[in-house]
Amino acid sequence: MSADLRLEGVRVRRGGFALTLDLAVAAGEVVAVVGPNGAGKTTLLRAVAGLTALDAGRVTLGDRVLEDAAGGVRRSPQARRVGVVFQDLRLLPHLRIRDDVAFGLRSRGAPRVEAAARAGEWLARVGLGDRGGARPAELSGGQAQRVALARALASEPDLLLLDEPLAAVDVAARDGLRELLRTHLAAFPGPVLLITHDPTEAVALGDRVAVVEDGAVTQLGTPDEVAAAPASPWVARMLAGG
Amino acid sequence: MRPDPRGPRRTLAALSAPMAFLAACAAGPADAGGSGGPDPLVVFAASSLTEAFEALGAAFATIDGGVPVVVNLAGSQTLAAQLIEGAPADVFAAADATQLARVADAGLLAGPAEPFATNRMAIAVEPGNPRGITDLADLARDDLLVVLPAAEVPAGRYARAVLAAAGVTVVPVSLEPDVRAALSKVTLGEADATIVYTSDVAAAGGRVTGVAIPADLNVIATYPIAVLAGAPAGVDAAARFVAFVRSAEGRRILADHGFDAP
Amino acid sequence: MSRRDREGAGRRDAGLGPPRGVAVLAALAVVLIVLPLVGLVLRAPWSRLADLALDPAIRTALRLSLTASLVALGLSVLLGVPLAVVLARVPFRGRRIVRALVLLPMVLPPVVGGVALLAAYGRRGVVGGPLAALTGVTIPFSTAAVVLAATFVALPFLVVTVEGGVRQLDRGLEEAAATLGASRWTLLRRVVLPGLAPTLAAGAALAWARALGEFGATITFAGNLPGATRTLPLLVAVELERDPELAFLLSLAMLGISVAVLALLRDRWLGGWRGGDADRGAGGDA
Repeated sequence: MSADLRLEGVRVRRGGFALTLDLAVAAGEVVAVVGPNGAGKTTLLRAVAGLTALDAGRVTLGDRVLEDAAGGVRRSPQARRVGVVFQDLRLLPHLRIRDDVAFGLRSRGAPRVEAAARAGEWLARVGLGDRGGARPAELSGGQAQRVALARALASEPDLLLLDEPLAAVDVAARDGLRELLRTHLAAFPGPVLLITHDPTEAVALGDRVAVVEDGAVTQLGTPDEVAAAPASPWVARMLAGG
Repeated sequence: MRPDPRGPRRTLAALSAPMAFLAACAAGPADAGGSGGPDPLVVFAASSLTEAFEALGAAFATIDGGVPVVVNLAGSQTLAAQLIEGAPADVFAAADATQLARVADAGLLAGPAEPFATNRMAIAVEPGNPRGITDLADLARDDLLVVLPAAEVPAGRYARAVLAAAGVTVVPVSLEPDVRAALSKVTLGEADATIVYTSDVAAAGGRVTGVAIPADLNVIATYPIAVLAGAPAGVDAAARFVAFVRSAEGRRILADHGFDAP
Repeated sequence: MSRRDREGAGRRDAGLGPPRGVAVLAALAVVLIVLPLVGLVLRAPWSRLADLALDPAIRTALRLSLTASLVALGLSVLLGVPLAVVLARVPFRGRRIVRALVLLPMVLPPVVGGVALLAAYGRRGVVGGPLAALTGVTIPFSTAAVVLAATFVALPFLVVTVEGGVRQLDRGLEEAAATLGASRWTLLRRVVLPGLAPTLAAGAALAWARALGEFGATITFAGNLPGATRTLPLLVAVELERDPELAFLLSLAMLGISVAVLALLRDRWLGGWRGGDADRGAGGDA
């Protein structure tokens, strides 16, 4: 059932800047996209999620065309069945987290009781089973990050996008969260695009690493390949320092 | 999008013409007595006296010992309330004795009130009388929208007296604050009929048609006029105006506007 | 405040606050507004307070005012929220003109509003004329006319407040909800409207107060008949000429209602709905 994500000839202009790339992510594979701030990583995520339109190129998931600039096809974010963990989390502030996690299920028509049950399971899987009644403002950065992850996964998407999933978390909690992430990413059947500015994180979580600088992919390879022979001085510096 | 720097200047330029126009309008009547001449006389007059007192004021300004006259027009009960609250005026001309008595009771008169004109009531309907109203009884019809001056307005009291004399019960759709407001509802076409003074029907010209009320049911409205104590223009000037209003010349002007002798 | 606090305050201000003259003018502004209100409180016949509940004319006018203003509020919310959302979110040609037109009743003199309503809905009006000719239904002189006049003046207040609130919403939340599969209706119902709740409350309070206080348009368009169209403000005008003490008492009552409305609002209006944030400057007191 799970399909591969393909980005072909994708080009997105944002202000005076353009992102161009070709990339394929297999089902079950985690591609970590790493690069300095302003390189175009978030633009990439928004384009795949359907929040920013392509200027050129195609995005397909298996045999479903999510977007084709030339052919005039653009599926709305709702129709793409994509799970997104945003850098700023974006938990709905007026909802209890159990309702937030159930939001995707309810939006797609699941009955209240069933959605509540599945949400409860996911909260338990991220270690927050007993905090379901809390509101986002009452949680720590790490807890909120876990809720965001649970919410994205609970809606059972075909494709998972994560933007700086460890950025909101303090150093002490980071290791535990990284392990949690690794576990769930491994279990996720579809393709995963993980955006990060931290090469050590990319190398730790990705099956492959794509280095993006100034809107283009400058290196694509396994973590070992990238770590052994970093094509970019920036990557070399970050890996050495980490 | 960068803000257009010419924008604010254009707006100011565009506003200047209408502003100048409004300023000119506002300046108009105040200049009539203003610059260097004697203080204008301030007369509070019932709204049914609108045209008559404008004419009387204009005539008074030209005679020997006359001064310009400024008239404040409203329902007599409104004027009485304003005077009691301390509004400065020289003369009060009311449409009934009740409202003038309120002012007298407040100790505001310089001398006794004297009658200066009388009036009678009439039914006012839309031009051409499209609803076929012929008498007071017609006013009770369900299909008509009838307005009346409010009970505290002298015309309202007279109207109710006339209706009571005829034994007719009217359910008005609105109670207006003065007789001219009631009349305007008919001229605007919003109401089918109202009861006003015969002088109002005359003053409205072709904008209403009058339906006469039989003399045996009609009331005679007596208009009193008085000089106010503490008159800003001076009690003498005020008394001269009152005398003028009650003179033969004054009565002629009032008759021209549909009023009868007191 | 201890000496240290006062010195601290001086150090914090250190030549950056407004000049002293500004404070004097500000005080004058306060006096200008507060003095009439104090006058009202002092001159009202407190001994007759019971009349507010007992006098049948007052009870009738009060019931009419409350009913009409609440219906006007309902209409304002029903029509105003969608308009605010469209003005804030949908870029169409002539949007600025439409916004200016919709806000016009806020600056129009009320009696002019009444004349305009007559021109449209009166018996010889653009809409009212054909309506009367075809159905015999006339709008002026009815409670419906009171509601119409009140809505005409109140709706813009709601629109301007809510539009500001819509513009301040976090679009990111809607993006997140969209990726979770929320339809446009679900977005509106579960993300936008809950986010608007405080601003909507403020706009509603403002609109309701405006509807309650409307006079010029009401007396011109709806007329002045006890029970049907003589609202509280109209009653005040009538009583001022008949029983001035009662007029003062009624005015005091309406002042009380206005104070209650402001208490409801508590700083939250025209977009400043996180009231008090302006105090948290670079110094960081919070």
